[in-house]
Amino acid sequence: VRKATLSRLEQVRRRFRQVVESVRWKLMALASHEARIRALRRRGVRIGDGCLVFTTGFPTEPYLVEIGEHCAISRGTEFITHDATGWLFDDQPDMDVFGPIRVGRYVYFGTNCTVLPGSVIGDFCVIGSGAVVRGTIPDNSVVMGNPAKVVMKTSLLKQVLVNHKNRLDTRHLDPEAKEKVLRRHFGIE
Amino acid sequence: LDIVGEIQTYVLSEFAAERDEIAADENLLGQGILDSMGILKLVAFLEERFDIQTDDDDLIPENFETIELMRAFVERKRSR
Repeated sequence: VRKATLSRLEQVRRRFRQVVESVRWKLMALASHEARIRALRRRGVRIGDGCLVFTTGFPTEPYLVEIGEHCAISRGTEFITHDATGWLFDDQPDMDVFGPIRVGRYVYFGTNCTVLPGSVIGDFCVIGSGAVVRGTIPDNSVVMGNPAKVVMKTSLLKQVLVNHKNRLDTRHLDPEAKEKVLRRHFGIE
Repeated sequence: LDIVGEIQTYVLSEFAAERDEIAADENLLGQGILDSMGILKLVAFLEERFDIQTDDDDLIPENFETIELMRAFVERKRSR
């Protein structure tokens, strides 16, 4: 009885630690990018300098994720490093399949992307919103869809953006000044 | 219509309805006539209309800046 009680206590303790860690991690959404990156590194994610991280979607095996410098990861994006479908099979109660994820330098993830185990994303890529990435994405690629497919080279996207009719160089402005520029450009009183 | 004419008609109807004509050597990217979704539509049009298959490495500015460059791209693809 004593042994069973101790085991139960240990389970409760472990679950409590998981909940605390999960809450702590969710609270990171409120922290600065630098604080988030420090927290990710503490958890084992190998992440380069100058990244912007808006998501908390890192896996239970954060040490299997490697992200290069100057990447932007929008909210809702999830990195998945395990295939847990083995849980279905009663005769394989302990089975999991894993795959590390490697992201190159200068990669932009739109909102709600999913990166599946074993994915390798090259340098200078754009992952369109909602894309589901699996396998290898070559350098200089813009990908979209499920499964994510190359739709153009990043160099072509750059030309489009540089010359876009709604291009407005506002990043250096404070919110009020930016609002003025946008209202004027779009004719909003 | 030749290849240039067909692409001109498509670009005018889809991306520059306010204009009457568009020159084959006009820089469509430089003038902001094509945006990223526009390029996706244009690639789908070229593939279907001219029965070509674009590779990932084809999707670069050098093939889409002007209608003339698109014509050359289509002809290169067709000759393979």
